[in-house]
Amino acid sequence: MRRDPRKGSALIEAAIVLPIFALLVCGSVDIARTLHLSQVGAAAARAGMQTAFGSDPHALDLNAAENAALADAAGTGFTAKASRVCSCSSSAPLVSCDATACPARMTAYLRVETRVLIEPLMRYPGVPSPFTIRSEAVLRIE
Amino acid sequence: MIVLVMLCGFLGLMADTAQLQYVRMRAQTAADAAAVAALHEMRGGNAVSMQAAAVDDAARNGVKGATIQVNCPPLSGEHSGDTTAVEARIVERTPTLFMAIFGHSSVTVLARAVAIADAKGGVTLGE
Repeated sequence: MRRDPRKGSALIEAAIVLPIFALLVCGSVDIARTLHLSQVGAAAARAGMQTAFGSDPHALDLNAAENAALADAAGTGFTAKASRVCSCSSSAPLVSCDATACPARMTAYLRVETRVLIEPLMRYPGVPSPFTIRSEAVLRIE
Repeated sequence: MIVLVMLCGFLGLMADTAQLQYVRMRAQTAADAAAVAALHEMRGGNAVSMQAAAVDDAARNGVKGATIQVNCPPLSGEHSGDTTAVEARIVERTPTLFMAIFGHSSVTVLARAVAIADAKGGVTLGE
């Protein structure tokens, strides 16, 4: 009985192509999820910022900002944190307003930060697993 | 092989589109922050610091190295000519992830925001 040699070559082709195809599919799904969640996180931070910005800058409703951010990213597992932070100059790093002792003037900012932890489908070289997607929106309030 | 190339092309298009939407949103948030920062400087009597404040606050929102233009009064929109309003325009060239293969190595993203001083001493964002 003679075997069909095409069956063997098809098996070898499949053995070569399938891992590449699997990597392509899993990689695409992970890239798409990452980009989608980056967008969701950025939009949620922005939504939180806009909610708090509408209130009195001296009595910022940080809870409302966090709730708005969480509502905007509902169902995606994001956490949100809104805080009032300060800077000694427009280009200086943001620090806690309580601990700031600025020699001249202090500038206050609203910061809304969103985070989500995602587990990629595969482990990729140089990419931690799981990893965090973080977005923030910073707006001067004074 | 042809199918694989087509698949890669579509995946690249998808990834670049999603990335550009993200960059566009980030630029809009940065434009809002830049306009508000410039308005605060103007109200504080530091008109010369408006541009620097706008650039710094855009950078705080992830937009660095972009062209940022601050106009007071705004040059366009419903607050055009309003001296209590400040307009910030951001022009950012962002590299594409995959579409460089097809000759599009970067895309220009535009964002614009207007911050308006209200009568109570607050700030609102408008068009």
